[in-house]
Amino acid sequence: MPSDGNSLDGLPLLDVDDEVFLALADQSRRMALYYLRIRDRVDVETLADVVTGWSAAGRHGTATRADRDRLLTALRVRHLPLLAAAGLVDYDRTAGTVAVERLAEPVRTLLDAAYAWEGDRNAVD
Amino acid sequence: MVRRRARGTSGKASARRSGGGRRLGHCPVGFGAVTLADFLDDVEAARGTITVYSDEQPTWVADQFEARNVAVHHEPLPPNGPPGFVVFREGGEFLASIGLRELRKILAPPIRRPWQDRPDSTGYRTLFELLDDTIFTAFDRRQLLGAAREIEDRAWRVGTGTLRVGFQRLSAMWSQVEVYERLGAETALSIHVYGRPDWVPAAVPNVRIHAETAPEIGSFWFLAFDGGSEPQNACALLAEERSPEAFYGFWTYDEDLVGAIEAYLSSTYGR
Repeated sequence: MPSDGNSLDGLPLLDVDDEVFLALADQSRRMALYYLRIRDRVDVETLADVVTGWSAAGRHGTATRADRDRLLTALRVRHLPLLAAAGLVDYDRTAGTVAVERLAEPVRTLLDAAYAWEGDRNAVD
Repeated sequence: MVRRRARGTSGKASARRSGGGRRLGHCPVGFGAVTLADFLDDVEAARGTITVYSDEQPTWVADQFEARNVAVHHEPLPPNGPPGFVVFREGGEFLASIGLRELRKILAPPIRRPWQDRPDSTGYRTLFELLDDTIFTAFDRRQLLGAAREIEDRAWRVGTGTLRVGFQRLSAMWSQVEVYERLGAETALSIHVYGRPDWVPAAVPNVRIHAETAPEIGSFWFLAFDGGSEPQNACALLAEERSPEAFYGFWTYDEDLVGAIEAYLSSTYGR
C-alpha cells in the first residue's frame, strides 16, 4: 500500500474485497464506472462508445469503429460480468443495459482517487 | 519518403461497407449537379452527429462544424479527470473518436509542401479521414491549406491521373507556382488550374490554365484528384468563400463523388 497516497489516508481498505480491486485494475472498467456514476441506466452500446473514446483520448488520441466493436465485445463477455460479480454494477444482459450499484463508502473514495489520479497523469504540461 | 494509406483502412470506410452509415454514392440525387453549389447541397443533406464529452463545453468544436450537416452535442463529464474527447456518429452508429486535445492541435495544421515529410502528419490525416463528407463552416484559408496539401500530397505520391484545382483567382496561384511546377515536371499527372483571370501566370509545363469568368469559379476553392492508377486515393475538397476568409464546404474520399466533381468541371469548363 503506498504510504504517500494522501487521498487514501484513513480509508478502511480492508473493507474493500479483492474482487473490487481486481475490477478496478483495468482502465476500461474504471472508465465504465466513472461514466455510470454520473448517468442513470445506460445501454451497453453507448457505454462502449464512451469508454472507447475516453480511453483513446489519453493515449494515441483516435479510435476507429473496429476499436469500438472490439471493446463492445470485451464489455459484454468480460468486463461487465466481472463488475457485476464484484457487486459494482447491475448488468441486464437481456435488455443490454447497465447501471452502477449503490457503492460502499470505501469504494466511492477509491474511485474518486483513481479518477483524480488519471486526470493528473494526463494533465497538460 | 513514400507513405500510402488507402481509404479502406479507415474505420469509417469499413463502417460504410458494413452498412452503418449513409452512402453518398447511392444518394438519390445521383449527383445531378449543374453547379458547384449543388455538390454542397447534396453533402449537406446527409446528417451526422458530433458529441463532445468533456467537463466544460468547448465552443470551438461547434463553431467549426456546420449545424445543418452535423449536430454538435455536449455530454458533461466530471471535472479534473482524464481528457475529454469527441465521438462522431452517423445514423446513431459510432464512426470514430478523437481526443479534444488532438482535435484542437489538428485544426491548426502546419503549412508544408507536398514532397516534404511530415513527422506530425498522422493526426492530420486521421482527421481528414474522420471528417470525410462532413460540412465544415468558417474554416480559414490556413486550415483549408492543410486539406489542400493532403490532396496535392496524394496526387504527388500516386503520380498519375488528373488533378483539378480552383484557386478562385489565378493570382492566388502565384504563391503556389513552385508546387505546380514540380507536380508538372516530376509526375505524369494531368493538371488543370482554374481561376478568374486577374493575373496571367507564365506557362507552367504540363499544367493547363483555365481562365474563367463564371461567378462560381471566383467563390469556390476546390481540388479534385481522381486517384489515377489508385482509385482508392481519389479525394476532393470543395469550399465556398461565403464571407471574406470564411470558407464553407466539405472534403471527401468518395470515389463516385470525386468522379462527379471531375466530370462536372471537365464538361463545364472543357478538358
